Amino acid sequence: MIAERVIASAGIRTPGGGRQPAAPAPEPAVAYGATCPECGGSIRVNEGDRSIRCGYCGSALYVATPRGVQSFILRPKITPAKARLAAIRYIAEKTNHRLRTRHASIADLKLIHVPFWRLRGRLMGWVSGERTALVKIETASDDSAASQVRTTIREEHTPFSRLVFKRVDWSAPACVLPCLGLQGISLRTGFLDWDVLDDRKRSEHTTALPVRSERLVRRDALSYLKRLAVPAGTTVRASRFHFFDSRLSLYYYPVYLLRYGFAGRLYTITIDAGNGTVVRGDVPRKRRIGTKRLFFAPAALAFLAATWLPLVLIPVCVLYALDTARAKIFLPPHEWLAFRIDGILESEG
Amino acid sequence: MLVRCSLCGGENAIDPGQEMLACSYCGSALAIDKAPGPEHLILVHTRDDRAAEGVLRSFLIEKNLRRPVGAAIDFSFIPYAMIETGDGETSIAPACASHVPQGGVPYPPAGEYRFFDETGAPSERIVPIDRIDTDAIRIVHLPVYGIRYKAGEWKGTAAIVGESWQVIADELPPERPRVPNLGILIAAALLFAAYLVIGRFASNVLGRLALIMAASAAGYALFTIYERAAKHQ
Repeated sequence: MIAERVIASAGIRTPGGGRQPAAPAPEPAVAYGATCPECGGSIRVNEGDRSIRCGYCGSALYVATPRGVQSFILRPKITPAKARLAAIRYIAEKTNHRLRTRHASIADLKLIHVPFWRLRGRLMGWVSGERTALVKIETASDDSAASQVRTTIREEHTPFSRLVFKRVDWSAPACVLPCLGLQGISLRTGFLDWDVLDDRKRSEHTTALPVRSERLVRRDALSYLKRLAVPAGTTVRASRFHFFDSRLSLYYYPVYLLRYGFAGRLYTITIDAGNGTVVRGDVPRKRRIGTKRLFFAPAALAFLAATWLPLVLIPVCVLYALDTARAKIFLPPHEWLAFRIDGILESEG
Repeated sequence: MLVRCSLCGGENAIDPGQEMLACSYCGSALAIDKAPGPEHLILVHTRDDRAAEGVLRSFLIEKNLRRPVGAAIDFSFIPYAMIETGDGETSIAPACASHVPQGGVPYPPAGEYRFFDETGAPSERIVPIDRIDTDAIRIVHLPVYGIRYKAGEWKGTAAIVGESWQVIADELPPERPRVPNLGILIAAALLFAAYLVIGRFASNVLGRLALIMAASAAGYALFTIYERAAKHQ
């Protein structure tokens, strides 16, 4: 039988609660090692570890006050070649096969691990306030001859209170990446094989730096969950919530970022390295002709020209004068005409 | 910087901001009680001037601005401090006075971050840190391309952050003049001529209007049917 033991808080406190002997004064910092209280063997405690097993005697050990948060990493399930293929298929599909591999040049393909905060636990609390509902009231007129029914809509406030017991699994990106496309990973985390991220090997992975602090994440999660607990159309007067068994951890999820060039522009596609699907992608937009304008604008002009030729020239001159006055600079007539014709006949779609 | 192992007394070298290490004498896993100073990292990046120029070109094309010509590129690793504010937000600010790109601050790119080690620093220019905020939790040396370029008569500068390829510029060149599509222009001119000819068949204004409207509506209907059939196929 394996006995549970309480050990040092990530190696800083001894089982007796006393501190390790202080380092000599000139030393700027001291590195503390944790030993197994059962056999005395050296043990390694990773960030956020709550329970560990001694590598020497096999005792199950409990970390009284864990430091930091636990980090997990997922190894990519698809190869860069498959990611590239998924991106090419995506481009062809989104552009109706207008754009193929020979038209676009792939600039680079990079695997990155995106950090996500994941908060699990139980939310308990209560909320009270007023629920507002719109009520339709029909009143019949007393005059039987007229037999009129009047309908009025009135706001009705009813007191409201609710106890909240909710199992929470919330996640959000911990970094800033404009082309990411993933909002959270809480649903998929249960189905994947995550490895604990070893601090010493952190630099071996291509990662994005987390920029949202633990405190901020907890606050954001709580405010989001509070909103979920309150039904729509309710004014909250008082509430109190508590998180129990909350566990915050960092999950590094792998994605491929592919950049490709077309007609001088670069576009980015994000491919989920866990399942090979494209989660977000930019594709070149086709410049489309405004068909209605193409047929009807020359028709209007032709009618004016056939009736009396100056009827075409007068509005053009007025428009040019207005544009010049608005721009407050001299616009070369040919450039202005090109700009206007382009604006009338073409539209992006 | 040296730290002493609490188990064997051996001295181990650590990087600024490092919190965990394995003792090089007894092999024990050690945690540093208080890390000395903010973590100091560098983002590994191989200089690629052509890629940076391509990114700038793409950025200007996207905004429909004049194309860059005659770019002169400068590359350096610029230190930025990540500061945690009172409400838990993390902001980023330059940790040096010179070589800082104007027009914004970068978001930290995703990439291979290493502990900054002066002995193993890359051969490219590394801008020294000359100011550190006391609330800084991390100093990151980011690869930044400084580009001086011309766009017609206009001259300006832009900075591009390596790995994320984020463009930072406080001023941009003027808008590019629009060039109409020649094919569409010819099509519009032909339609105009055709409507004029059709309009000649009517003797009065109303008849002319009716004929031209009918012709344009028929043309539009035929084109829409053709387009739908092509899409269906």
